[in-house]
Amino acid sequence: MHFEDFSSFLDMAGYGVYVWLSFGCAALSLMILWCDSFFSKRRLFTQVLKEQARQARIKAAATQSTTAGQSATAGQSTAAEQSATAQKRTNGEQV
Amino acid sequence: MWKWLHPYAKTERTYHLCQRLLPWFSLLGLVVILVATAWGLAFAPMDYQQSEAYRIIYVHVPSAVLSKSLYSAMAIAGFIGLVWQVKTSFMAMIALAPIGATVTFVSLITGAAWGKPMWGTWWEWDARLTSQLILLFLFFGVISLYKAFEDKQQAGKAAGVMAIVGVINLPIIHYSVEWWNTLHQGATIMKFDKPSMPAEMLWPLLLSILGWALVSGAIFLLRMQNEILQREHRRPWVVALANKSEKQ
Amino acid sequence: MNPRRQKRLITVSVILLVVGGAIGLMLYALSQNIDLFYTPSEIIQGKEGQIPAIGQRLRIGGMVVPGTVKRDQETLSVSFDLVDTGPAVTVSYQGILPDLFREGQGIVATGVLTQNNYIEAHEVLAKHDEEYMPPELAEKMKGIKHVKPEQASYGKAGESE
Repeated sequence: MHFEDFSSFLDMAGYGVYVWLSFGCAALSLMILWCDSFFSKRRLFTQVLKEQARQARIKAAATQSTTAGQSATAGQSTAAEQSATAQKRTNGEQV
Repeated sequence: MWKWLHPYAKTERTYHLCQRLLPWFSLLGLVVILVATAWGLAFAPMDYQQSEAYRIIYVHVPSAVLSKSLYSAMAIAGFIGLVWQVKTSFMAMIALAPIGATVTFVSLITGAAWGKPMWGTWWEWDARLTSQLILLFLFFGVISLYKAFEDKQQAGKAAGVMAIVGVINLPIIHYSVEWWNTLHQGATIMKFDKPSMPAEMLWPLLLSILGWALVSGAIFLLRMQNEILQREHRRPWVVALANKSEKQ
Repeated sequence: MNPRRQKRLITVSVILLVVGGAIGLMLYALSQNIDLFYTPSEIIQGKEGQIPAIGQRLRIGGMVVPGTVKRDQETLSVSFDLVDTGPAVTVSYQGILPDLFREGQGIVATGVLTQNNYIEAHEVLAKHDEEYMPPELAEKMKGIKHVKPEQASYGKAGESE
């Protein structure tokens, strides 16, 4: 160990402000970059799941509207929502 | 049929390769960077002229070295993407750009914090400092150009051209200290003869460069995966992965 | 041209303009600084046959001659001689010197040439070389003792033995 005690380590012969500013800034920048990369991966996965649920809903709505004729009403869309969540559940079990 | 399937199989394989390499790079990078920083900060001897202030070298030099290496890597990726029309190559290019911009920024900030007590100024329009600032702007240019296009293949081409044109700045940065009267001193380790440093100062420096490279590698692997996921978000394998990650 | 393409064209042009403009400005700042640089012998003997005019703003780079640093105790004004290979030039400066300022150290000063060998500087920067070594090694190899900035005694001989 080069330094005699902890306070002289912090002081850095009077250059503590500059040394710790440099190291702190470097650590912070790398940490922010890592967090951004890590959490955007999670965000992408949730986006994919949302998109998938939306696709399923559209598909369900389309099949329902063909059975019930051309006119789609508000009541049908809630039914589509239910079938979409049902499909999501089965998807979850498949994996 | 195979021809149609081939490109998708390739990105999937790349994704899984990144996944396999990621823990190694992350763990090794973290350990090496922590050991090297602690060594440089607390165990290396002080300098005869600059006393303890020279310890800034243990973040300044690794970030500066990495900024140039990452720019070269980015430009090479852009070049491969342009010439051989490789989709994953453009993804690698744009995954590298923010990492390069960050380390360039760090090198500028640590340089300023070193220049203030030693030279007597935070900033000087010196050839080395200016060309490094231009490098930061080149990274920004590549990132914003890529974002300006909706069509990502076209975006990759535009950003790739910019990355390649900017390569001219790399020799300028390196030789600026020799070509002009700069305030910045010459190279310590990046020269052909012996480095101007004794071993007990040099080892932590080399180790910290390795640590920064490994950490940058780990972040690159993460960002590369993100690029793949973003581009292939409708493929069944991505959906399956998303479902799997949701369950965990 | 459809509106989407037009928008993209504008965005790309703006990006290129901003990046190009920023780089151009930096290079301009750089060229301004590079051209005005003189060494002490260039100030007296001329650079490429041209001796700088009195009253010219310039930068000078050279080594502080040991034993020439004179410091006024009341004010912060300092004067010292700079030299490279030929004759010396005197620099006067009022302000805080960088920590690396020592006799025998490389210095870059910016100021106005008031006489043919006298510069009134408004900025003094220290330059250091690329060599790093522990104090004990430096003492053994070069005979230089590490002196803490606050203990340095300019004007008195004997910092570098």
